Amino acid sequence: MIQLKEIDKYIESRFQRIFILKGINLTIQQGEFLTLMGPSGAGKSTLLNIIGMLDEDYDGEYFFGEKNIRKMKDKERSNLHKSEFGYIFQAYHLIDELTVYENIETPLLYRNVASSERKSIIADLLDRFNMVAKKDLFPAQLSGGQQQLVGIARAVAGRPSLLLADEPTGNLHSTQAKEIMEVFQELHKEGTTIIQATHARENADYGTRLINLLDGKIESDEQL
Amino acid sequence: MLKNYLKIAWRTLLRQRIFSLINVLGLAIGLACFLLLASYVKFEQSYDSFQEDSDRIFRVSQHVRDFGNSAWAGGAVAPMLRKEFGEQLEEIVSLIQINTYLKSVDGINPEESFREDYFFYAEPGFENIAGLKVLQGSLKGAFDDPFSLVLTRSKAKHYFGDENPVGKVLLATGDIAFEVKAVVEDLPANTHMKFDFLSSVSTFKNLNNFPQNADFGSFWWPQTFTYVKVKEGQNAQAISDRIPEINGNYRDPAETKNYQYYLQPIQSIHLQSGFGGEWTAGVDQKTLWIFLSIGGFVLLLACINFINLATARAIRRMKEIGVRKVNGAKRGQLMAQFLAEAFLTNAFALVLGLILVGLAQPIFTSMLDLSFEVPLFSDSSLIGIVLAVWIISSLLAGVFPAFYLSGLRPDVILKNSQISGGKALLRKSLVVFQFALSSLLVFCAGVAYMQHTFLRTSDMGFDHQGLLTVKLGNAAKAQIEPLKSSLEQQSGVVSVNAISNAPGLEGGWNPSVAFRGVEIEEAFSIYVQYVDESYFENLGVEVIAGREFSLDFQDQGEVTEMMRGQFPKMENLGVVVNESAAAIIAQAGQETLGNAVRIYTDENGNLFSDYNGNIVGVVEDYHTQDLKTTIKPTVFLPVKNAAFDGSNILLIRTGNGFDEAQITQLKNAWNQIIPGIPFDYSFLDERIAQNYAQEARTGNLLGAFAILTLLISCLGLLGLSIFTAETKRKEIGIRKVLGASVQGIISQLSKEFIYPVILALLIAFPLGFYLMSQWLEQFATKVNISIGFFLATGMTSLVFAWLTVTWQSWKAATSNPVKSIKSE
Repeated sequence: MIQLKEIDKYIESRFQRIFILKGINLTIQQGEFLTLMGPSGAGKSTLLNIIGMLDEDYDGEYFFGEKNIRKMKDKERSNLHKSEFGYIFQAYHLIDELTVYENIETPLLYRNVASSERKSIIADLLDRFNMVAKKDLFPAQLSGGQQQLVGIARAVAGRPSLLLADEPTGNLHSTQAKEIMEVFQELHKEGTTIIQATHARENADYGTRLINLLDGKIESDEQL
Repeated sequence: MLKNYLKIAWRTLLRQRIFSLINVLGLAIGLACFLLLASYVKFEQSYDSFQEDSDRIFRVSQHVRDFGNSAWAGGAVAPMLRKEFGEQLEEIVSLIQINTYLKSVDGINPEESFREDYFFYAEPGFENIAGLKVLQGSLKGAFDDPFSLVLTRSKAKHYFGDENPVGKVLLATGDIAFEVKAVVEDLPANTHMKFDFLSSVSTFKNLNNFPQNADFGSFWWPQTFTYVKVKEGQNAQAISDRIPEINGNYRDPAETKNYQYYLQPIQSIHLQSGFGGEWTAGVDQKTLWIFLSIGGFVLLLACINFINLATARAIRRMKEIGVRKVNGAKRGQLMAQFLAEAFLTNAFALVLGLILVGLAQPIFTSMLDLSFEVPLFSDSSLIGIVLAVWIISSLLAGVFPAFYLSGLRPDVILKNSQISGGKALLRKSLVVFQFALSSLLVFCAGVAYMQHTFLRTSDMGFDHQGLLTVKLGNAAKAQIEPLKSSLEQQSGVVSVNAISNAPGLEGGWNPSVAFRGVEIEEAFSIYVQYVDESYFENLGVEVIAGREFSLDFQDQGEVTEMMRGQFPKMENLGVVVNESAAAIIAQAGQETLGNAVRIYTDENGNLFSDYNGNIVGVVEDYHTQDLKTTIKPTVFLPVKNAAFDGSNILLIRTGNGFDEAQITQLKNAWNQIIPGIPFDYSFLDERIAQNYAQEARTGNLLGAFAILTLLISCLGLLGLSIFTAETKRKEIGIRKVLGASVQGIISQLSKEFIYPVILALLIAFPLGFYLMSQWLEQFATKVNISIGFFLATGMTSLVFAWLTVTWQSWKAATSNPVKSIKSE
């Protein structure tokens, strides 16, 4: 599904290049649940951003399916981005001014989904994550775990084929974290490809593949 | 989608209440100020445009050498124009103004007389010049038949109530009966042609024993306002240019050179000040420009604030932008969102601004002493401006978030939840600009206020407190001696003088004046007044040489000849001059006391007055006119001389504790001698203060807008300091954890904004000094712009700015550091 070839990412400083990622070669198959691990500064988030097309400032080749991302037109890339990717963040990144319902609706609005269809999609999601009663609350009125559930609901609302999660449980205590990971596992079973970056080894156990990063290089790559 | 944008815009507004309030309120105030000032300026500029074909109507004004422009023309002008330009001019109309007392014998107040200052004798055709609308009766013959009368609706109501006044009679001073022919609608407020009563010129001829069918032959008498309506297709400028040349055929060539008639468009009359004998006071175009630019600047400041704050606030929403982008928002969609928000916020400001206009309008118009409506919904250019402000400021406020923020990379935005201020230089220069402008206004308002106070309180060279002036009509003049002695005996009265001109207000008249052995260059620079004995003593003006008029001397002269059987020639008058006049004589190396003086008027070689006398005294200079004018050389003649009584007013000096009861006493004493003649009095100091009403208004208005600008600037500063405090919350938290004191943090945060304000002051001061020095040029007596003005202005701006900034800094500095650090 995804093929990365010789990905380099660096910062030009005055006297030398500081590499954040160096020579990353990685192939990810459809249906994988991949975990990126490694200490702070190893390049987990950077790699995730590159895969998620949030960062386009790197050297190397990136194939999504058959297509070379770097050779795509802006519009094509933006459409691909919209249709195939969902994002989940450590800090949830919900829009404070919008209710739970409206937050989940946001990606659908940008995808020009018709109103009635939006309603049914959101109703399904709310039901699935047990948030029907909370649909009119604002993010500030929710616990961290609940906010992250909204974050996930929002990420999957557009039915992406690939879900990217950057430290999704970093701000949560263990019970909540467990709950979130179980949701991930379920999504994975339904066929969604998931890539997560995390510090917590126990989260990796929910996945199918574990990659350890160190100083911008792949240290180990194992199937679980 | 739009619904979603508006929803989030509304929630953002509510969520950041103070911020939104500052933002919306600032723009609303700015807009309201601008609308008020702009509609005021428009009102002033709309004068005399309501008459039909007003662009073809002109007044014949004259330019007098060494004297400036005069609004009046002589009686001979209209006949001359009729003869020479009859083909090109549609209407040629003269009006003669008088003041009189009117009594309605068969009206609602049959006993009482009222003073009327706007009574005119008009020639036929005036109805077409002024666009009169007849409500009752008919104008047929109204301007032809003697003793006919046309009055305005409001005066008809005053004298006759709701009854139809047509056919009824009004009695003027001297029991002259006028028959009401028609009632016309009052002219709108925006005309210089203010009139209450119109009679015919034939009435004037009748009363002055002037042959009915003859034309006036003098360019001096009677003084008229003369209007012409140019026929369609005729070039008014060409006609105007030819008048002086043609005038030369009717008048002594030397005089023609000194008095140049020209056509003045009526729409320009109100906007040109400084015309001698003007019908109603105009307004200086410069003042209007000042007001309009103040309005423009206030609006500009408010817009800058709006943009500045909206931009600052947008930075706080970078996270939202990032999230939206990650969720598939296109740049265009984000732009649309931010622009929609800006337009919505701005719409609130507009509505609030319009409400403010409605609320402030009565205050504003009463400050200006005017009554006009702000034509908010009827004036297309005002609507246009409001819409333009809405669109432009919304676009500018939305552009930064829409174009700059929407283009940022989402991973960068999302990572940096703590945003650096960004564009601080731009924002600080806007603060400098705002405070420079508001300090400038504060400074100007301060100087204008002090100048007004200075004019009101400074020494006029005579004691102008406790003086009462009483108008003298013919009936009172006939009984002047008994009146004087009776009034003098009333308690509280110190002295009574009969004189021609009120001191401190009226300079006198300007005939030709010649001193023996002295060449005078400027023909009209010497004024002549008539005063009686002990006048200067009672006024508190010192006699520095010789003596003033006294009953012990024969100052009244004798009539030696009646020129052309009509005009007296006098010899041997006693003459008193002021220091300035004495200086002219001394400069020519002549002795002042005893010098011969000749006062005369002539036209086309014919003398109309010729008074000769010798100087018997010199008095010190005092302000015969207001303090805006320099003291003019003045010659004083005895009020009661061999030929006539020159008195127009009684000047009564009152003692301490003069009150209403004593006025009643004076009235009674007056009416005992001349029953039925009103005791028409006023306090001189009040009339003098009236002279400076325009300055007072300008000062008040400047002051009010200076405060508003300062307020808007402070609102902007407040918004920015809130913003700075927020973006620096984490920094402040860390500093506090590391041991920074509250004072240290306050001063660090405050400094950031106080320096720009100081810089603004350094820009405002020289500019303000220059501008106000220019403004003060017009006054003969002017206040010194001292260091105090600079200090006061500086303190005001700094204190306001400091309070604004410190409030926020204090809040930031005293907040709990644990909360601010732990934001992620």
